[in-house]
Amino acid sequence: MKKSIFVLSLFFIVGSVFSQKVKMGEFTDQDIELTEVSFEKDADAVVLWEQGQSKFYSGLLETSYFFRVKILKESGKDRGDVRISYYVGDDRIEDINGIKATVTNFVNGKPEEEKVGKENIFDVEIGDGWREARITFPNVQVGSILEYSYKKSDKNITLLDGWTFQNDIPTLASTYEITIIPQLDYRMIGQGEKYFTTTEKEASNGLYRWTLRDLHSLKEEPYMKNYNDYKERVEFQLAAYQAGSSGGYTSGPEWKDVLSNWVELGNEVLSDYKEKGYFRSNPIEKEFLSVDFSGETEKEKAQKAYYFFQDNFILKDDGGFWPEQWINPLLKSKSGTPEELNLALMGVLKSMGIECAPVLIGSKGNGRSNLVPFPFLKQFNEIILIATLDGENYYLDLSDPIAPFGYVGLNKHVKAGLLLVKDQSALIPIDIKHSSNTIMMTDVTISEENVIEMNNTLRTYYYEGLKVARVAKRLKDDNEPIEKLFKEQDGITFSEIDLADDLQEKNYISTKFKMTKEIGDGETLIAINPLTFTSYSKNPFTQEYRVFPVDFGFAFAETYNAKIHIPEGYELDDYPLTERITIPGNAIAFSYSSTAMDGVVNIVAKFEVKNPMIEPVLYPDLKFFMETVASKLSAPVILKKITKP
Amino acid sequence: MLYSLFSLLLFVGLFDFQDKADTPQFIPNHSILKEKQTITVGDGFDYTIRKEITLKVVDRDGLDHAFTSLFYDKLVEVKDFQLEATDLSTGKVIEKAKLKDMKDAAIYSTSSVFDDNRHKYYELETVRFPLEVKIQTESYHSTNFYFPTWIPVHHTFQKVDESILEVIYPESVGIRFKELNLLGTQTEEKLPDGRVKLTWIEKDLPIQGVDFETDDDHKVLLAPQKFAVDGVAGTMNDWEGLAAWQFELNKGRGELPEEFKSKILALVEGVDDIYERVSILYDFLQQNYRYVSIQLGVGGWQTMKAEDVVKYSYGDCKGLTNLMKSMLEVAGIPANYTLVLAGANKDDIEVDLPSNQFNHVILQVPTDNNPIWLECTSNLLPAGFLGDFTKNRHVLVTQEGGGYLTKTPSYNSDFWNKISGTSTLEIDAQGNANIFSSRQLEGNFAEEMMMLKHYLDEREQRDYFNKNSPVSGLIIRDYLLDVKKQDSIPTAKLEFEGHVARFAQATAKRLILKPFLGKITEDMLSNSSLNLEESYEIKLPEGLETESVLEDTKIDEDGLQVSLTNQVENGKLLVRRTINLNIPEEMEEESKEELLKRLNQLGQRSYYFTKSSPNTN
Repeated sequence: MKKSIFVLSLFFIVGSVFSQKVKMGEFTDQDIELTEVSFEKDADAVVLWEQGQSKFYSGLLETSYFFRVKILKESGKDRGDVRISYYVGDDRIEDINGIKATVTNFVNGKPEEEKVGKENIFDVEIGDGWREARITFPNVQVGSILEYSYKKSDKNITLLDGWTFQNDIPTLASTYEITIIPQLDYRMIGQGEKYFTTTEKEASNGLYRWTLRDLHSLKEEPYMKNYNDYKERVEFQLAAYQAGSSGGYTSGPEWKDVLSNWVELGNEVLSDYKEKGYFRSNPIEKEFLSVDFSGETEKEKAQKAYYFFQDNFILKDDGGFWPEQWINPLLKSKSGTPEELNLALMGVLKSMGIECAPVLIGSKGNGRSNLVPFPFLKQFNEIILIATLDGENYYLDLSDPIAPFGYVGLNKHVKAGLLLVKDQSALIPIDIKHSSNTIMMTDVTISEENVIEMNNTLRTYYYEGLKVARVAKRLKDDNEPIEKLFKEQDGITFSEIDLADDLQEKNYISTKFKMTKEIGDGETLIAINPLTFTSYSKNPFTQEYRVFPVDFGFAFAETYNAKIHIPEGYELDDYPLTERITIPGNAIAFSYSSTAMDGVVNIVAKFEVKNPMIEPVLYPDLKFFMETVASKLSAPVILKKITKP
Repeated sequence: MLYSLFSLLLFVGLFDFQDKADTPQFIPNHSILKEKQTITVGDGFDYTIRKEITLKVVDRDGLDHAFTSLFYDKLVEVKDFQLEATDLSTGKVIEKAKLKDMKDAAIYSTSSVFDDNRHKYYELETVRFPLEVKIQTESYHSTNFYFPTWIPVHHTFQKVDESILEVIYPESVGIRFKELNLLGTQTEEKLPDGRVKLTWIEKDLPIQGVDFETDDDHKVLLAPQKFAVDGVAGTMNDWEGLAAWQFELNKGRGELPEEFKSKILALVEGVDDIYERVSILYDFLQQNYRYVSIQLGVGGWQTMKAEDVVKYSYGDCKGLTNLMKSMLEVAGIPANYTLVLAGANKDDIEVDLPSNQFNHVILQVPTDNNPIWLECTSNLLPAGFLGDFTKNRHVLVTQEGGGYLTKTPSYNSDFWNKISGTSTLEIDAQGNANIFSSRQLEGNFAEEMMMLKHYLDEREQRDYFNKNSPVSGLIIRDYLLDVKKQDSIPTAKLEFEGHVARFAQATAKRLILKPFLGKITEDMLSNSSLNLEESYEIKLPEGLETESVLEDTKIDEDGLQVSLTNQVENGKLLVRRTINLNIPEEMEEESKEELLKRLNQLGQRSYYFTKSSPNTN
């Protein structure tokens, strides 16, 4: 992935106003004595201190980085290998110099400092404009303090790298300073729980400083869709710069706005799309002259165009919202990234007179699934389309090679986006409606041959259906039989599998299948568990506690209906009790009911996620809830052979 | 006896894959390949590989088959690349590319800090099918120490019309080879200039599906008779030759500073037992020197100097092994630098083709009895215990002037595969239970615990045990995981106290205990031996009666003794399981699966108790 580049020609010099608060090789008693982190006692290493100091110099941003890490356990010694990646591009956009590193070991309490020699620092060209500086610390022991510093210059002063205060190990203190010179005006945006609550902030004479302390390590948790959205961060975007005096005695310096409002930001992005030809109708119309996109309605036409792209273009997995290819090479190679294909699709729709525009979004995991309400470009990372078809709005996205028309990648289901229309760009709410539910109907009989037969119809809607479609496609691509949809179980035979993909027309996939199992001769009791195949028959939440919210992605319901026909010669002996449970706030609910009538036991269970985001404070309740659900879904119905007197 | 249906059926996401199903007869093909590969070996122990490929890409899925990646480093140079793609429906050439058009990137390794491995690559982008792609490549290798294995079928769903391998070499250098699963022809020809040409031709090879076993792949393994790396020459006619060369390459790189030598001698002063001396020095290495992967040119084969490892306190497998060897020598214990093909699931090497088939180094310390083996990159394992990474396989021991092939221990006796444990549970009226469990693992089973203790933090460790508990719903309140080394045996003691939500299921009339005995997994049989002893004491709520007869089970067969006893006494269910198993190493996978099924069927029973006063809906 390439970095987006905004380079402004600005030439001014300001002196540094900073003095380093922490100096290499000068340790506090706390640094030396620390053997464990109070809030993460089993951490194998800790960032004692890290700081970044940014200043502008000759039109560049120069940031001095300094890190101090202590090794607390044997497994933490891996921290002795450090990699610093930076983007050079074609024009040394970023550059790193002045790497210094030392390791200090304490022998009988006395520090023994060793400088890391040049033979242990080297630079690797990774490819695609990226390089990596690597430091290998010698003599890394438990108790060692590793320190390294370097300077990075960056030509991109429109969108600054900013600072991430959190690491994958705990951080005792992380500080970032930037001196904003009078000639530049930046917009700043912060993120994270601590950032808004306990940050020590300072600002005077253009100097801004943030210090965050006692930060937990960042670790992925299950059911977490937007990991990066929780990082403690601060970012910057240029809002205006002083272009110089207009020359007269009376006029002051002239300020030029940079992406200062949504319209300007929109126009900036659109100008790139325009430059690359995505708004030129000529090449598009010429290319698709012989393709039949006709239809009775706008929706029909748009569908034809969408499926044409899906069937005839290759999707590359590199994403973003800046297309690399121009329209002509894209049309020639028929291969492009999602944003390129989306823009080309827009071109086709527009050429047919359909109203269509790109929408920038910050997908889940990009760090900004909740947008900030001012024109901050970095919060966006993907593009979808909005098209008005026969008076109704549709969201379109070509990022999934098998998704039906109107489906948008789930990570793009965010609350708002930036509609890009020349001189009219504005934030719009996004509401992609879908009911990705699951309905399962099961009919259980016991044959005369003593075989339990379960005839099932599983109907999966929308994005749940798409999941099934993906597995089915993978099987087809790998030339595997459709029976492999199911996990093998001892003694159970799957047969009569029939998968009907009606996603495009009806938004569901129906999977019919039969499961059979023989009953041994002479059994007097038969236990039948008709619902143990369900998604939540095993509790997915095994972690002791939760740092981040549980995110189910979207609201949904799974409904199960099983009819067990009691065969002749048997009677119903026992079955699970009716139950209805939820957690405080009612974000998730489960109901289970069982009735017996006319020789049939009817079980209906419903698992419903009403609010997909569940806060960590509710995690113990959720965990117990899910365990109860799992237990209930695997509870048996017991039939007993009638003994003749 | 009750009969339980569908008790473990799960979908992945919604669905999961099942392992067994009839494979369809017809396998589609996405590309058709015709290839000629010529390896020309020079007098200077170098060689070039030239490939001429004609590939018909049938459909979009075959486009990956036209992806070209050419490896290079300090010993390998990419000389030529030409590509021409023709749209077969129009006959028009749609793309041409040369060496300058290739992209260049590091072969990124997250584990290797020092490396110079790179590749030049070219990716064809088109949607016009069918497509004919002609590719020519040439790479120059400055050493004939290693030849790539010739495998004519490159991809699944690829049809190979014809694939030719030609190897031209001067007799003064020589070539040896091993053929596996070939269906075609092989000829040998003496060229007018005195060189020898070997030719293999494979035609119309079967298309391989995703379930194709790599062991069945057609291939030719090549090795030199004489070779040189960076001017250091050797012979590879037998294992001795390769071992002697390796020894020579590292010669003089084991010198240690005097001060360090004194430190070593002080560490073992007064200790006579050889295992103890080795163990002390191995501990010293483990505590003070860390593993760093280094893959730079000849550095791939030659060790860092021992004094440099001492200086920096880090080294790769060669450097750490060489240092340990030197330390032992200072202590008067000779040891042998030993080459191994490492990897938990790696096949053994081809023992009848002496050649460089290795990717790792360990140390062998000969004793009067069995040698002591040391994995010098591990800072966890006890001296004398090789983990999954290097155990039970052929290795090449190197010594001055030669060496020999031998096998590392398999740790397949009872002694190395012990698990014992007791658990006590108390179930409340709602079916929830408090649990206290204690488990002792020895040998191979303790290795996993060592890794777990080392690499996971406490929360992750708890989660691991919660997740891997045979009964779902376990929440560990307090636990202790203590890993130790008893001489060369790793041991682990796990104790935990916690709560199991819904341990028992309640129906109107019954309380049902779901299967709670741990499943015997395929991994547990991987050492061909299992010695398991476990007992459960479960206190039941009041007012329950045993519904069915609690039958005991016993199996007593050659290599397999199993006992499962159940009884209810004073309101407690007592379950005890013992398994003593010794299976032949060469046991077929299917037989293993059957055995597992049998063992687990015994353990996967539910216990039913009737309530004296049933609930009603």
